[in-house]
Amino acid sequence: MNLLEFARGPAFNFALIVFVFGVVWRLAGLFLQWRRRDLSKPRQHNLIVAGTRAMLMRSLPPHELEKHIVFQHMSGYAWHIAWFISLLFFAPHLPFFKQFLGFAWPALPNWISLGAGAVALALLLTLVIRRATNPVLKQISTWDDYISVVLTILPLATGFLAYGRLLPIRYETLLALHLLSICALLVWYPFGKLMHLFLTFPSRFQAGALLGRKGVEA
Amino acid sequence: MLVDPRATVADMLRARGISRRGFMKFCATTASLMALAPSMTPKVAEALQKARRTSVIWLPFQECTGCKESLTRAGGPTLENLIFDAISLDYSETLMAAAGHQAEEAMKNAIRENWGNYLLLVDGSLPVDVPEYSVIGGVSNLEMLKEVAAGAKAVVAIGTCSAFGGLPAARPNPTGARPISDVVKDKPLINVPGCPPMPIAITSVLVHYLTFGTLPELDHLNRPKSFFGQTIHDRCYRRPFYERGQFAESFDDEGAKAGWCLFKVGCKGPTTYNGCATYKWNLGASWPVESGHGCLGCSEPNFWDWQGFYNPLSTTQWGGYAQIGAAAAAGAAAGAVAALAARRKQRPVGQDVQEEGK
Amino acid sequence: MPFEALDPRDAGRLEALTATASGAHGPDPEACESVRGRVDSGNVPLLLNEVRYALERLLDDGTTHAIDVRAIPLGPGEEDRLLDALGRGELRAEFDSLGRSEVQECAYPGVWCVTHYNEAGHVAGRFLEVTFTPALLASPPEDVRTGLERLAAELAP
Ligand code: SF4
Repeated sequence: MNLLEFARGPAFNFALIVFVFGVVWRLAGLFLQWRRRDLSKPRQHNLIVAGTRAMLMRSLPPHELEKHIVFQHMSGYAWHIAWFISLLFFAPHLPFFKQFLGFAWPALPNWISLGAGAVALALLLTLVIRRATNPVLKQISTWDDYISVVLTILPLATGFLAYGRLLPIRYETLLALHLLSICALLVWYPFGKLMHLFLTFPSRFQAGALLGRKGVEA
Repeated sequence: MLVDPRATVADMLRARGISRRGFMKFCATTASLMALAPSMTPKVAEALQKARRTSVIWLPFQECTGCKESLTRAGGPTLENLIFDAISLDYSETLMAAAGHQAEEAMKNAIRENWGNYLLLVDGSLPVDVPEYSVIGGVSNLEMLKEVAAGAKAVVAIGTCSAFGGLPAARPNPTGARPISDVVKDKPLINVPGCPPMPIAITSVLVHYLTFGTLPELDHLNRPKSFFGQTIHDRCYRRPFYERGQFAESFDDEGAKAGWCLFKVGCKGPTTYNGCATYKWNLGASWPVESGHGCLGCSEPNFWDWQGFYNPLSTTQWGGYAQIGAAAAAGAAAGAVAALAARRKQRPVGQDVQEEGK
Repeated sequence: MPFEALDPRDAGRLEALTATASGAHGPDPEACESVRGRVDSGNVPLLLNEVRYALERLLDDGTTHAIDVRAIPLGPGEEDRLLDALGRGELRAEFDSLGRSEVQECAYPGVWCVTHYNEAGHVAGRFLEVTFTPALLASPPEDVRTGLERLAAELAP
């Protein structure tokens, strides 16, 4: 068995199982852990509105901080969007999704999907360097942050290496590394901060609903 | 044909009344056969002036004769065949006129006379687990290979079966088929894989040996670099479509008709090292991708079991919905237990207030 | 020899088969276009540029250059397009040894297309040579010597 066979066979299979198991485990653990009944009188009744409002409002930068974090904020949005464009709309990726879903969607032309990937890669690299050098960010960063961001960068980086044959290494090895980087991402996913993909909006909603019940205008 | 064993290739051509110009033509096409630059033609001419006939023994094991078909249908009856006049194919069950004991005799003689100097060509894999599955004249392939390889100068494994196991080694591999390299350890070994290999890939090794008396430079799988140095994808004329992201989605859609890239219908070109894209098949008529079918990867180890021929390279071998479902169910169970445990730790409403009040 | 054992009709059959698929030099582009589409590997302009730089060098310092057309991956019909682009010049020479061979000057002087056919008439090799005179046109000294010997023998009383 060569590296590519290992990557696309046992390694990917293992990573997928860990990913599914881990994500369901954490989501079930969080959602089934219901809160205690609150006996106080609700100040506001329409909690769905309160929750949704918070979910949306919290996605915008707070006015008072806007000018200080504009780069952080906008680049955060930009790389997330670009990353997903390259993941979901780069043509060779579509058969990957089709094997699970049984269907696929039209790809974007390579110059868009690869361009998006390049933007995401550049921004992520800038952000991780900034995180490591900015005194404030350095203080509030944990291992989890670094591991998560590096594992997000690796599939992009190895993808470009494989696509462009940018190293004097055989293509099948580069493709195997690309797949292995995805395996690493999948395995880490449920256990680190990457889980925010599933938790950001539910937690914003929940916070909004709880505060709303207490009558806080968020 | 009786040929003076000391005659050189150039002598042979001259004896046939072939002019110097004809010889230079022969050298130019020979250099091209070896995938050498045209500027190497004078070197080839110089070497061929001195090259002598080489004894070649060809042993067939678990094979389908496709490799030999490929070689003998290689081209026109003269030019390439001169190579065969220049080697002396002393034993090949399929190609020789002699049969039975005569054939065995011919092989024994050739081995005796050329001990230590002949080139051994092998096609087909070895049934290592049950040697009795493939036997020639009462001698198992395994035994015969060991015997004949002992006196060979070098061993050339022709075709994917002898190079990597091939179709006989496909799951569940009932005969325990193994490549030649598993048995021949102490001789220079060249793999010329392909199912079948391109004729030029076979002749280029022979010609290289004949011309320069050495073996060509090999890659990590013992394949000649001159021929297996680049992937199909590297040299595919559909590559611009790949770069632009224009793919045929099925074999009869508009993309397929427009000649777009076949990656999504399973082309293994990007991971397959072979010369089809350049040299093409059937005297240059076409080759698989040009004829509208993706590359199967036939010159790569394990291509037969690796994954479906029509599964794109970017798919994986995941375990199926049942496995994912099981993982999800296990995750849900673990989550439920964790949640329950956390809930049981929660104190009833009001208790914390009372506790604080104490 | 093994090849005597082959059915001689096979060669003819193969030829007939490939003749339907092949034009003068390779697959017939029109017949193929409906199946394979018109494709552009981008190699034709690259080759033409290579020829251009080779011509410049030929003029500068007399360096000659040769390209093995068979070793370049070309799509269906591209070899014809390449040869069409190079055109035909005024000189053409042929010789017959191990099959026909053709030395054709291209429309750009200094560029020669040398095509070797085997005895069945299939292209066995095709080279673009950038040189003032292709070596194959000159009489080889070995042949001159044997010719001289022949002539001397003729004249001997
Ligand atoms: S058809 Fe196959 S070899 Fe050709 S460009 Fe597409 S993937 Fe590569």
